[in-house]
Amino acid sequence: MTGLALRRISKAFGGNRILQDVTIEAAPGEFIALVGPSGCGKTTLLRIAAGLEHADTGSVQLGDRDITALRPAARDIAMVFQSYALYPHLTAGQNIAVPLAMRRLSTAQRLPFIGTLTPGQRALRAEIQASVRETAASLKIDHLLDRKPGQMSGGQRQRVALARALVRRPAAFLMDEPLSNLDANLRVHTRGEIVELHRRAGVTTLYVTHDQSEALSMADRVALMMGGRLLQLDSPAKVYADPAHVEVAQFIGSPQINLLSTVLDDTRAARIGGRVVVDGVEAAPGTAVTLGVRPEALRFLMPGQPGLVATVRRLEFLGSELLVFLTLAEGMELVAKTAPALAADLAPGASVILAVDAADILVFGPEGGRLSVSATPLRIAAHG
Amino acid sequence: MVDLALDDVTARRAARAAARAEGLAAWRLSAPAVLLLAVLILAPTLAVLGFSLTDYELGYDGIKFIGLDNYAELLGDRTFLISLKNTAVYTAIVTPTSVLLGLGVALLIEAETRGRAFFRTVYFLPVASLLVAMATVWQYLLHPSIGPVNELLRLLGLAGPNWLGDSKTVLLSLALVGVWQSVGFNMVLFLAGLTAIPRELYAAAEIDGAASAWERFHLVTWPILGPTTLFVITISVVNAVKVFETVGTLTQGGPNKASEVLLWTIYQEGFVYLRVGYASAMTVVFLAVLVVLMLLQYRVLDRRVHYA
Repeated sequence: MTGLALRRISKAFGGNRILQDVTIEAAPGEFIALVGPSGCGKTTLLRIAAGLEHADTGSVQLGDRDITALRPAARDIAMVFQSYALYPHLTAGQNIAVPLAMRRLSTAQRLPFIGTLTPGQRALRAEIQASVRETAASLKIDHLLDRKPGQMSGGQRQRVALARALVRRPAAFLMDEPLSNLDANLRVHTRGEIVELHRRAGVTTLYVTHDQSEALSMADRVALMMGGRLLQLDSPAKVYADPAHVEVAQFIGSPQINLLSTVLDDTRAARIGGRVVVDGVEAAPGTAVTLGVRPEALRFLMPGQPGLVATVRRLEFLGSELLVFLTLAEGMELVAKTAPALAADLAPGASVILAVDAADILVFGPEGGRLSVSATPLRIAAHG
Repeated sequence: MVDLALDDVTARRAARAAARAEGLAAWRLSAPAVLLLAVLILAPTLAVLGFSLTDYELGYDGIKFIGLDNYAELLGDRTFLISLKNTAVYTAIVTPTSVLLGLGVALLIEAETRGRAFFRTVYFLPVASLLVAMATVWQYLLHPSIGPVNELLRLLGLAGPNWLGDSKTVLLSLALVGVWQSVGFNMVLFLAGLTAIPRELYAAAEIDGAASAWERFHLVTWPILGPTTLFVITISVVNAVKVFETVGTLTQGGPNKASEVLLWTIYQEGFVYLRVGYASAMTVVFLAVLVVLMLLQYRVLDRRVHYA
C-alpha cells in the first residue's frame, strides 16, 4: 500500500538541475519531513507533489492512482503555505469554506445573488457551513470566523490556513515550512499541535522544513536533501545516530557534530594526536578520512588519565546542559555537551583530558560517504 | 507627602508645556504646505465661487453682485444642458470601455513574459503622445471620403458614416479616440496592481479547486485588484469629464452642438465671449459634479475593496 509516492523525480529550470532522481515513498498515514538547507530542492519536490510544478521525469502516485498528469485541483491533496496564502478579502470562515465551495458547488451556485436561486444551493451551503464550524472548533478558532486575515495574528492566520487544508479531508497533506513565520515559543507549541492533528486525522503528510529539530521531533521518517539529491530517508533516531553521509551528520544535530580530518595508518586505524581513536576502518591505508564525534559523546577524564589533551576556550550554560568549546593540543576545535554538574570546576583556559568510545565515532571517506568499521570496537579508545 | 504632591503639579505643568510646544512645532512644520494649499487650490476655487455670483465680464468696467442669477440662467441654457448630457454620455462610454480594455490588456501582458516590455511600451504610446498632434491623425483616419476607416468599410461593401461630421456618430467617434488614449494608462496601473498579487495565492487557489483561469480570476485577481480598480475608475471618470483637446481640434462642439461638452462650453463662455461670471458658474457646477462622483465612489466602493 502506498500513501504518497514520488518516484525517480528529476527537474531542471533552464539548465539548472534542481532535483536529481529523487524517490520518496510514504506509507498511508505516514508523516515524512523533507529537510535540507535552502536551495536543496525540497520545496520544488513538494510543489511537484501538489501539481504546481511538473517534473521532467518521474511519477507521482497517490493511493493507487497515478496523479502525475493531473492538475492540482484534480488531485486530492491539500497544502499549507509558508505565507499561509489566505485570501485577504474573505473572512476566516469564507477562507476555510473555499475548498468545499469550489468542489461541491457548481459555477452558477457560487455566483452571488443568482447562486441563491439555484436548486439545492441552500442545503449545500448549510452543509459547508457545518463542516467549516466543526473544523474551526477542532483548531479552536471558531471565535475568529468573521475576521479577515488582516485582523488576525500570525498564529491565528496559521490556524486558519491549517483549517482550510483540513476541512475537505484530503488524501494527503503538503506543508511548506508552515511554522517558519511564527515566533519561537509559538513554533514549539504549534509543532506539537500539528503532530496531534496528524495523529487524529491519520493523513499521509509531507512536511518541508529547513529546521532539523522540527524534522526530528515531528516526523515518522526524515528525508534529508542536499543539492537536489536525497541523501538519506530514515527514522529520526537512525538519521541522527547512523548518518549515511558526512553532510547528513553535519546538518542533523545541534550543536553541530565535531569533524576531525586525519589519514588512516598502515593498520587502517585513525589517530588523533598520535593516539588511535578507532581502528579496523574498511578502507585502504593512507585514505583521508573524516571522523565525526557528537558533542555528547565526548567525556571528561580525571587529570593524569590517558586521553586527548585539550584547553577550554569558552563555556555556554544552557540550563539543563553545558556546552564546552575546546581546542585540542593539535589545534583542532571541538565542542562537548555535558551535564553542568559534571563540569562544575571548568573555566576558560583550563586544561582537560577527553575520551570518546570508538563505537561513538562515525568515519566518513574522502567523498563524504560513510565507511564501516569492522574491528571489535575498543571500549576506551584513548589508549596508546 | 507634601513634596510628592508638589512634584505632581510640577510634572503636570511640564507635560502641558511640552504638549503646547509640540503643537506649535507641528504648525510651524506644516505651515509651508498649508500656505501653498491655500494660495494654489483654496483661493482660486473661492475666487471662481465668488465670480460665479457676479456679472463680471473681462474687459468691461464694473462688476455687480447678482446672486444666483447665473445659476438660474444655466438651468434654462440649452447649450449648457446639451453639453452636460453629452459629457455624461461620453463618460459613460469611455470609462467602462477603457477600464475593461486596460484590465484585459494588462492580464494578457502579465500572462506572457515574452515581449512584455514591447507591448507595455506600445500600449503606453498614446498616453505619452500629444493628443492635439495625434488628433490630426484621427481626423485623417476618420475622414468620410479619403479616411482608411471608411476605405476599409467600403471593401466590405459597407457605407461608412461621416464619423466626425454627423451628429449621430460624432460623440461615438470622440469616445473612440478617448478610449484609445486612456487604455494604455489604465493598463499600466493594472499591471502595477497585478504584480503586487502574491503568486502563492494562485497556487492556493489551484489547490483549493479553482481549476479554470476564470475561477482563479474570480477568486483571487478581481477582488485583490479592487483598490487598483477603484483608483483606475476614479482617474478615468475625471479624465473623461475633462475631455477637451479632441473636441477643440476635431469638432469644435459641432455639428449642431452634438459634441458640445462641459469644458468646451466653459472655454467658449470664458475665453471667447469673455463672460467670466457665467463661465465661473459653469465651472462651479463642473467641480460639484466631480466632487459628488468622487464622494460616491469612495463611499460606496471603498468599504468593499480594502481589506485591513
